[in-house]
Amino acid sequence: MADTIAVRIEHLSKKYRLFSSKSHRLLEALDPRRRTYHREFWALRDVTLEIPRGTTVGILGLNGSGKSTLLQIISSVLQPSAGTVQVEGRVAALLELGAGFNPELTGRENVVLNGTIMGLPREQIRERMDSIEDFADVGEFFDQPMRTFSSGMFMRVAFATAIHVDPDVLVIDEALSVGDAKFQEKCFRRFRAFQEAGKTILFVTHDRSAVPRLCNYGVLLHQGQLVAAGDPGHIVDLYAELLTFGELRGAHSGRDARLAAVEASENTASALDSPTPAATPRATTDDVCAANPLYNRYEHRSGNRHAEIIDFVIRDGATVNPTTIRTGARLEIEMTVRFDADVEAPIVGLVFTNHEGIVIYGINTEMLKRRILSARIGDVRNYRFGIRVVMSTGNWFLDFAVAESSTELCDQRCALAHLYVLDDAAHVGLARFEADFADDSAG
Amino acid sequence: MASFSFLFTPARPGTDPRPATGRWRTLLPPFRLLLAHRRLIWQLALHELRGRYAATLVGSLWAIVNPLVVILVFWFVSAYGLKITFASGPPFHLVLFCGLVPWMTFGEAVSGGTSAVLNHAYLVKKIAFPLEILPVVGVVSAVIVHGFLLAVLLSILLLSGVTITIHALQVAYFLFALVAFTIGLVWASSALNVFNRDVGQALGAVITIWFWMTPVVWPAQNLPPRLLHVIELNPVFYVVEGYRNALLYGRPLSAQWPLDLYFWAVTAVLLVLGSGVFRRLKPHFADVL
Repeated sequence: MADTIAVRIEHLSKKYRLFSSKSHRLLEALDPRRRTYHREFWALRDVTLEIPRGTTVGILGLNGSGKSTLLQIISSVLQPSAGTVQVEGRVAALLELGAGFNPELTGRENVVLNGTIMGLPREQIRERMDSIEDFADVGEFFDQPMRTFSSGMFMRVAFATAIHVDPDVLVIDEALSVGDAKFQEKCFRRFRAFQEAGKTILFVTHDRSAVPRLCNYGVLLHQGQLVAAGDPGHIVDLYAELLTFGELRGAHSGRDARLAAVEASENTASALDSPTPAATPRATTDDVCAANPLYNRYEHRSGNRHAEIIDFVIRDGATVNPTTIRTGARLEIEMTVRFDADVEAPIVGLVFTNHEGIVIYGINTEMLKRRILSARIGDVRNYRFGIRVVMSTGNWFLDFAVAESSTELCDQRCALAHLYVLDDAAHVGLARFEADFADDSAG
Repeated sequence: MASFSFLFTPARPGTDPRPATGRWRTLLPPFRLLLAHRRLIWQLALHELRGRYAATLVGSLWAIVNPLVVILVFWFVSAYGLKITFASGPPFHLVLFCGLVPWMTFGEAVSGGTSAVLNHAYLVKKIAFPLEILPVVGVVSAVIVHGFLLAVLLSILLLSGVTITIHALQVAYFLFALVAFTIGLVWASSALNVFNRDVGQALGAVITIWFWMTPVVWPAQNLPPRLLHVIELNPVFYVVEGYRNALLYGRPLSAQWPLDLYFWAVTAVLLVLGSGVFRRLKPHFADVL
């Protein structure tokens, strides 16, 4: 049983000692009476985790949640302050671009050096050199000093070396993000080969789409504690919740991570502060958009303000203002408009754009050939769109607008809402077209 | 496939079955590390020599040329400027050469070893690396140069008509002694130098004083016996005299066993202190660099 666990972490804690100056650090290190001169900072607290062999683990968490510390302890760069970490076999770690590589040496020389550091015999390094050079694919730069390399080339050589030293556990800390898409794809293919060979991969990423796509296990750290571990799709949802609220709305701390995680997702909908439903009278006619968790404070606003958009709500079934939206979900998007002038036949509309501002879909009531009743000054009205999400995984922005005519905008709030969409199906492109396939020759 | 590397992989916290307490437990590992990583030390030492002269036309040749120039200058000054000659025994310039070669290796090893951790910052941050070997890399690259200097020295001795006896093999022992002493020194100095670069500079000044206090370019014979006994307490003088006895005088390994004992006692204390300082400061390197 024991040999199926690749990494066993028990009650792991890491305390960083903060010194006000270098000399305090030196004093404490050499003080024969072991007096202390530091303040404490706990980067990890009582983390217990078992990772079975052959698992690809995605580690998520906000900045400062202890992800990098965890990886550094697993790769023996740091010593734990309490608890134990047991790793079966050899660890290869890519923790920081440039770590372990001498910029004055050529790519080839650095590969030899790193192979030696990893304990590979000279003959094996020589045997694998062609394969490493081939995988890194940096052309003639391979025999140039690495200080002349771009960060992408640096990473290619580092990654190529790491996978060729036969690690049993591969640890990667955001290093892959500097590679171009083609190289990333190549690395991901290698990940799968690793997985099939029963090797274990641990990586930290901020690319949420990579986690369900590549991993069969997810880990979520928050403020140095393991808050959830398990199904990667679920971990991504919890991470999105953290990103939006800065905390998990379920009560988890100090409880079984998996159990807490499941409860958290079940509680998500009910735990949210319920935004004003359309039917209930509004307590205020002020602009409360900023209180919505999906509100994007970098929105861009324009218009003559004869009418103002003062609130919005997005519903995905029972979930209100979901932090993650699955491709294919049917959303109900509601906006509240306050009229500060009489507006004859107003028009309201929505536009979906990606982070580059590319419009993937826009619609308004005029296009829908729906005529809206004229509004008087002081009216507050709710309008509701129903929309099926076809966008692929990624960050999407939603513009809201209200207009007097097709040329005169009252209030246009571009990128008012920030949506995160997660697509479970495999395909490429910005949108998911429901494809099917038939092979008539198959009889 | 994975098992062969076991020997080379440094002990991992948590998997180490030995208890962490006990003084002897902490004293042995640094030496075991050196043995386990000998191939890596050698490779890094070669890189260092090559790197230092990478931008020059004749490259590593400078590693030999520079000390040879120093030897020639001291020889010229002592033979023609100061006109130091002896009534009996070998000519003074040969005594000088035999002393300068181990001394220069010592100086080179101390300066190289002291700056080694700073120079290898890329191996300190965010990588699991046996840091104890870095100061040793500086010492080893000085020893590589020493090999060439020794060959030159032997050629000069042979051309000058000195008969090389079997006692010349004692050089190996004295070189080992010098290396052991220097490693103890640079373990401490390299670690302190990471925190405060003044350590390296101050050590340079100390080495200069040390050089002139050691009878290398001036003969010890003229000293009154009482002062000579004080000078003999200098561990580097033990090595310098050892080289002369082995190569020039053909004397058997020192019959003065108290001096051998003294040297190794000093060296042992230095090694224990040096590795202790290094072990205590090591966890802070990445934060300070």
